[in-house]
Amino acid sequence: MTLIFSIYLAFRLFGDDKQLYSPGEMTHGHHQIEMSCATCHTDAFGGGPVIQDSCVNCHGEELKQVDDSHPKSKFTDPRNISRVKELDARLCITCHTEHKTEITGKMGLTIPEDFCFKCHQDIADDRPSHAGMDFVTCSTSGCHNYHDNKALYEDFLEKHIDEKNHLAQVKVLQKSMANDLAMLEQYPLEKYPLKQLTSSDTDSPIKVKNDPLITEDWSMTAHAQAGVNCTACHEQKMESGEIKWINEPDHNSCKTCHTTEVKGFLEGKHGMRLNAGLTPMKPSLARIPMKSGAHDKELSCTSCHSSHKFDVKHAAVEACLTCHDDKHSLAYKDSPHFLTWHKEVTGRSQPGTGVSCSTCHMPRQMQKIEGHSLVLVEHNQNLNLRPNEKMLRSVCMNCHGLEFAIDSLADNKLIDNNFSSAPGVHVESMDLVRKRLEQKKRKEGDGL
Amino acid sequence: MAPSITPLFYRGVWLALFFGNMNRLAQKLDNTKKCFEDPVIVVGTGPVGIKFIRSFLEQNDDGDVIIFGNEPWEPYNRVKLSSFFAGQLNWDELVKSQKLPQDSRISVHFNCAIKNIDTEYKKVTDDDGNNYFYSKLILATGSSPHIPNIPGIDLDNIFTFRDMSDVEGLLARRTRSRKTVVIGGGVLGIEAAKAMARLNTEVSIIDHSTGLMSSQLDEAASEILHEYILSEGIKVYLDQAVKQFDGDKKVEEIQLRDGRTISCDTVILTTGIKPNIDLARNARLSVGRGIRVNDAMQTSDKHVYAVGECAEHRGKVYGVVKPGYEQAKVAAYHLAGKRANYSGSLAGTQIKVIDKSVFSIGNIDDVSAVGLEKEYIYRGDNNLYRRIICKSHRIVGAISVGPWSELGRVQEFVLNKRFVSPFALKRFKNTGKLWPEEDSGNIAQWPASTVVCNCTGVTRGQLTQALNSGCTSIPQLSEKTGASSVCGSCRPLLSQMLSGSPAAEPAAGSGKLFVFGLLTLAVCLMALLLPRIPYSDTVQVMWQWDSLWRENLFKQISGYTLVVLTIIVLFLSLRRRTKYFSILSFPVWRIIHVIVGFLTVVGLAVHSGFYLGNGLNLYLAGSFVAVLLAGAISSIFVANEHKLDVSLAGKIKNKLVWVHVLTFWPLPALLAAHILKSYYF
Repeated sequence: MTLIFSIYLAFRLFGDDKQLYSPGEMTHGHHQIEMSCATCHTDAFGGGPVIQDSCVNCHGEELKQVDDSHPKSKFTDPRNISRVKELDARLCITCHTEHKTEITGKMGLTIPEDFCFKCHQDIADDRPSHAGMDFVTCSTSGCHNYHDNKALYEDFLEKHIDEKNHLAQVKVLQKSMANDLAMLEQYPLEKYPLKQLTSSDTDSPIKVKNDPLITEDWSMTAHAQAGVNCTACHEQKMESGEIKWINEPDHNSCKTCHTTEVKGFLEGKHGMRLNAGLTPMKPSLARIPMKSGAHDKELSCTSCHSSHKFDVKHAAVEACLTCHDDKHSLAYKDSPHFLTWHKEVTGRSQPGTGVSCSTCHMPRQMQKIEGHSLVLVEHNQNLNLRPNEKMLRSVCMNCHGLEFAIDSLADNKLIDNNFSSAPGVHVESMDLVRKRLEQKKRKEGDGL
Repeated sequence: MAPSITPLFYRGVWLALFFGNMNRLAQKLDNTKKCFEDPVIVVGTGPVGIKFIRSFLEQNDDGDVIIFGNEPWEPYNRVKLSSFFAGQLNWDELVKSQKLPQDSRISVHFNCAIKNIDTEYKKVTDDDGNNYFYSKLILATGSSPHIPNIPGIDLDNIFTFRDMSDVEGLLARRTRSRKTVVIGGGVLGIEAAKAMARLNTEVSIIDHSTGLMSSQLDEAASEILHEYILSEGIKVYLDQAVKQFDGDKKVEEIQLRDGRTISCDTVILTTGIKPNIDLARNARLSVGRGIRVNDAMQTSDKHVYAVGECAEHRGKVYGVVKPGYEQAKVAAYHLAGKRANYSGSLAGTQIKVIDKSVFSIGNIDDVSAVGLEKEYIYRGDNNLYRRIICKSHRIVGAISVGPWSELGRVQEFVLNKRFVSPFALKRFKNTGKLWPEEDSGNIAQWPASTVVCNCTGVTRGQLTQALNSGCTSIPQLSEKTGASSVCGSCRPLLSQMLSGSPAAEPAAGSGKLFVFGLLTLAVCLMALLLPRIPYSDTVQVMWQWDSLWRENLFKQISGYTLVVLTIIVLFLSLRRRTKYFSILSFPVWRIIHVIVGFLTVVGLAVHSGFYLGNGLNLYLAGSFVAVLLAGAISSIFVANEHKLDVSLAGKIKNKLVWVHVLTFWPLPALLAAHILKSYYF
């Protein structure tokens, strides 16, 4: 009996479905790919180093980009060896253990929130202003972030002190791909030269029935204007070298030109399951509220961009709201942000002045491709989602003063009503900076 | 105060202060020191006298004892005299069980009757006029045959059947006797008749009542016995009285009241016994039918005890040996200053000298008119007859003729007033058996306190101890414990014990089994019902207890400790199931098993904090908790098993252990997978 049972257990361990062996649910960040054990456990019997590599594989680049305030090098530095004893921050899993629902806190943190105490217990000596502050508040009050301090460090705050709530100049970037395509070496210019196509120019094979509605949709798009014909998406090179027509191209087709966007999509919440070799993400698998009618939709490029129409305005708001059903999403259309978007869409204001869902969650960013700087949409919404301070530099500060933005992001009520009222929370960080500036001035005055 | 007593005294004071009972201290000092300055004297070398000496030596570390017997033989087992007479035992076998222990404290005076007791000076005088002083005197004078006052009773060749001299005379007579008449159809009469009939002697039994063994059997049983006796060639005259014995010097003819005459050359009188109380009466001790004693077996003089057939306790004189043994034991305990109370015995009778097994115990009078008692009768082939009398679902009496494998248990049920289920009674009515086949005779599962040998009062627990100490045959067991040394009717039970697996001894560590079982149960329930042990929500603590569940090193230590504990626990199975592993006894392993089981549940708490997890981890933790729960309950049950009904206890225990073992089965696989998984991922 026991033997048979053992064989069954072994079968489950080495088989495809390892759910039996999952020691607990995963965090909000990874729950989508729980069933793809090998995404993180890349090698059997690999142990800790393998896991660490897996963490860095996906998250390392981002940490580098945000100039991680506590990089591994800080702890491998011999001068800091004593710190490692307190908190082995060389390894991600010291603070972020997976499968531990019962102790998983915000940001997937699995150690007590006051962990800063371990190394910074004497902070009040250096910064008398911090005396008496609880160590739980280091990160919760929107002052510090263990990894990404880009928008919170003192010099930055000082630089943006006393900014107005609404900046005079709106700095939302304009997309530039269509203009810069010709510069890209990998773009198949010979086959699809940059010239406007019309419905009569379609190059689909004869055996494929030509749907006039589809052709109509296509002819209105940027694709048609830039010379991207049917076969550009619908033909795919198979492994055998044969070129084959496919009826429903997936993200692999889009990738040919939209490499960065697809990469972002696959890293983000909408595409990470595909990236892990699992079935596409469905709203029903999400942990945040989703519209019941949308539960079985499978997420791909076309689920937001729709095939043939590729309407980016639709993708920026309406596409989101077909699925998302949380308070923040539902409150959007009653918000001042939507008003600006509405005005832009209806042509009553300049392009780039409206704030859509994607303005904040999939912002346009300057990206380097083949040495050229292009403004592209970042499809990995994780990059500025949590903690929401990450959004300050990339999004909020395009239009708002820093202090106002920090306060707004710290106010949960505002997040629920989609920023429809003034912030009711005040984060002290800017005040502390002001005080310090005054002290400096006074000192300088004394010095004189 | 003598120096040697001082430590004892202090300990005594301490105890006395502790219990707040100075009387007890005084009594203890009185008993331990003063009472044995003069020897203890025992009058009577019958089985009860010998039993007393044994108990006395067991219970007291000092004090001399002198035993007087008026017979010229070394002590022999009077109870088996019929068997000896019937030729089933030789002399050696007859005296074997009555050998006195080799002890310098004993002095023996055989063939030396005590003529007088002086309670004032506490001395006895023997035949030759020698005086012996005693500290305590034990009268085990037994009884004499009752000789009815019938004309011609003084004729020659009229024998009594009581002691060795009677048997000597009868043995000599048997070869010549052509016609023997036994007066009295009781147990002894039937046994004597059967023994006499061996050499084609024509034997008749005359009894004044309407049935044989009328005081022990009911009419139906008597009839069956009657038929059987007839089939053995023995004539039976019932409802008859002897008018007179005729003959010239020797008895030649018996005249019955109804005018009939029976010619005979030998007469054996088995017309009852009368206690030997003359010695006591002459010493002015209170006597009735026997020597009157209180619950401590003391006569009206507190330094004089009476035990056995000569004693009258609460108006009752017992004519069988088992109550005598109990009385001897009580007296020996009381002498040792221990609390002992005799509250009477329930007599069971079983005769084996005839090939037919006849059994009777308890209250077998006719069912009373009030109707509180209910009787159940079963009749089977070959004159099988069984009748039990129940009162509020407890057997109060039983009679049987013919073999009945459940006799021992029935006896145990009657003696301990145990409950019998309606199902058992129904089964009895239909099949003649109270208990299902498989557990009817499983003596090893009887409670330790159950008396196996009715004559000597040896319990199942004592026999188990003897077995554990290395006894491997019935004679060894008998020598060690005394069981089966008297009537021998418990031999089948002993052989069953020998052939069965060594039974567990509930007394061995039952306290530990209970406590650790309870502890394990408590922790298991905590794991299931209470909230999990919380993780620390701050790092600003002296000891981060949750590091036990956070850090790999601690996880590994606690995890592998659990593996080791699990392996240790398995030694119990190994000890039980294989003969190659024989270090320590099974009960010792069981205690280890239960303690380690408790450690395992503690280990589980340390390893998991009772976060039982998901998937495999959950199944493993669940399996652990299930095994431990079943184990804890089994342990608690085993510790209390002896308090329960025998068959029920055995059944429940088997089921509990079965559940315990079943729940263990998946555990090795889960554990292995769990360990493998920890390294795999």
